[in-house]
Amino acid sequence: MSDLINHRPRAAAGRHKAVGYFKLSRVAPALLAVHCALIALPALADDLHYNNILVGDRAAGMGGAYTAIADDPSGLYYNPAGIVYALGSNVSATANAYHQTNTVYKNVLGGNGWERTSSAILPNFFGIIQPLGKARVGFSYAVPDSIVEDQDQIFTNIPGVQQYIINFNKNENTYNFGPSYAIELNDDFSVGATLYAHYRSSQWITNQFVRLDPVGVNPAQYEWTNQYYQTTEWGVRPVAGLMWSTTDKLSLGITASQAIILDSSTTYQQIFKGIADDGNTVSRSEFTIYDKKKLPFTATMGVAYFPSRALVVSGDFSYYGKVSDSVFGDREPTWNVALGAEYYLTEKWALRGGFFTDRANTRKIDSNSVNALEHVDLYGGSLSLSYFTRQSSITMGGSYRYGSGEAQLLGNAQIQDVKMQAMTLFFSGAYNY
Amino acid sequence: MKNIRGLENRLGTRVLSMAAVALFTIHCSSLPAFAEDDFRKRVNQEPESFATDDDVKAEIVFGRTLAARILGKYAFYENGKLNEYVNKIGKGMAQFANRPEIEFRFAVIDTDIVNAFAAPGGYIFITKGAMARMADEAELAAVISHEIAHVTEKHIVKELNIKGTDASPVSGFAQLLGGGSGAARVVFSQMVDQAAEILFEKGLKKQDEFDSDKVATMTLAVAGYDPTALKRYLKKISGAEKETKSLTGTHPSFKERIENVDAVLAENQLTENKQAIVKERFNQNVRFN
Repeated sequence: MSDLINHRPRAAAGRHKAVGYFKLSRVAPALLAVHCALIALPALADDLHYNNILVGDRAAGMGGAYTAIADDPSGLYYNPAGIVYALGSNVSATANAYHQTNTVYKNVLGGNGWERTSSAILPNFFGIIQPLGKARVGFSYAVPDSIVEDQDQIFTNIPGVQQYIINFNKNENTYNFGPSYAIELNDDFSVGATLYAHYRSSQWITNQFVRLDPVGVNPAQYEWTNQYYQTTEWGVRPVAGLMWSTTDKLSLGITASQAIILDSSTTYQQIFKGIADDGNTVSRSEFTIYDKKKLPFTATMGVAYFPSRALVVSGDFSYYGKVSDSVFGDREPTWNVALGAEYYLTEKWALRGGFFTDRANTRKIDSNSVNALEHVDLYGGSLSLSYFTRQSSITMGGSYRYGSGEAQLLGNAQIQDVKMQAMTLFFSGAYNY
Repeated sequence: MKNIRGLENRLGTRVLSMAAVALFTIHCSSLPAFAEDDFRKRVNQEPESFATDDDVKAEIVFGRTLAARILGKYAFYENGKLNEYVNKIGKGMAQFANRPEIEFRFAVIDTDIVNAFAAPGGYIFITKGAMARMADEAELAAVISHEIAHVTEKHIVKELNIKGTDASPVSGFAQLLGGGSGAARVVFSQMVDQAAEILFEKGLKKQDEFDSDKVATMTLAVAGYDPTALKRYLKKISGAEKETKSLTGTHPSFKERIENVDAVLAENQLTENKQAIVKERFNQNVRFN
């Protein structure tokens, strides 16, 4: 999650700390950790990686290694230059996916782990290609990131704490949609561009309740925090692509893109009742900022080898530049690779498989780190099976990714081990006419 | 062949023809299914993979519409005797095409440019300008065979992926899912526009033209015509820069085409092959008002 969430709420909550400190000094040190957890609460995961969901129909089955193929509607997303090679005058494709994630943090509070799960059915991709004179135009819609995350846990075994309840829900989606244009320069080269509108909406709400153990004859004291975070951003993401058929069996594809946020609004609200407050004393804080998040320059180079009409193998290498963003947090440069293959079992059945990485854009956490963003590198595989008729195809497939790393959820130097896994099942259809 | 050319084949010619047929068969079987620049095409994208009677019907309907578009651009040349003759030669050459399911039709169109057009489904047009520069029947047969080859090799059909409606449940579902529902009629008109653009402006792939020249040269030999007729004709018209502007704009250069034909002739030992050119009958039938 961003530094805005990691730091600003923490700064705001610092005022709450001042109120409750004299009481906190009397309770178990674990309570301090609980309190920190209340205000740190990173929303995790998705913007710490750049390859969250494999987009598209054929491409998704090949692990996303599609930059040097890109000859169907998925190419609008992966490399618009490739759509000039799409067979048929008009091609459309769509994909729907069931996406599930699971993140487990070990030893967060009093030996207890945190677990967050997300599941959502999303329209992953839609694209259509049509001819326009000697060129081809297209329109596509993609959801490169989507998460509907929940955490509902009750802890009763934290020292000094009678009961700790956390209810967390997060809903975040990123949408890209826009037109594409591609033209064949000669028999070997084509160029293309997609101008995506970028829209991201994210909101999370958390409700945390901490009831301390009673001290002496005094009734148990409690702390309650309700936080709400909402951000909406609009921008553009131009994608430029080049496709080069180097030989009659080898193709190279290159793309470059840079998302630019043009308008952004982020609101944070917190309602808080401190340990020392009586039941009628509740503080409320709220702020809205309009800072625009910075996103990395991305370049991808792909190569595809077509040894026969039944087999193609491909590989992509993507590089994501460094992001210096004082508001939403810096991001480290990182890279991902994808390898994919497609084999036609018969003229009506094709099997695809792939391997891909989804590396973190954060610094690796070490013993000197304090309040660092979590760092988990993910590695995954994909598999799909397509059935073709003369004008159409339907595809079923899935992908799975797994990774382990470290996090510092409590805003201090304590390190938690993290295990993440995500599974996507997708169903897609393509039609040409 | 006798009723077409009115010539008695001698034994040597027959033997040569049989040898040429054998060579031609071997060549056809060794031709790649796709041109080199089509390496991206996959197994499921071969039109033959799912070819049905509906595909042939679609090709004919499409070709008929495209033929109407050609006749909208260039008027039919009103010369019954000439058109009858061209049809006779054309239908004779079409006997060597492996498309018994379609009926070839030939017509001369009234323009001085040097060109010929083939629409899917067997609709073939030769310009008056092209006819005027022919010296004999072998050259006419060469041009006709080149156009027939575009039809038999389904160059436009493959380029535009023309096929009949797929009414299978899977396709219907994919159409619904893929957003293709109800768009086919609109697309038909767009595809005819594209085909017209290929014929008049953009041209087919270079390799398609080379393949058609190759098939035409081999077919001439098989039919008993002078196999060098296409080469002779290309050489002749290469000097008419103005009249061949539309041809050179949509085809490879004459130099490349002649080199390609030369290679075919040499490879099949047809360079010195003396076969019929049928000049007399050509002169009797090809006269312009």
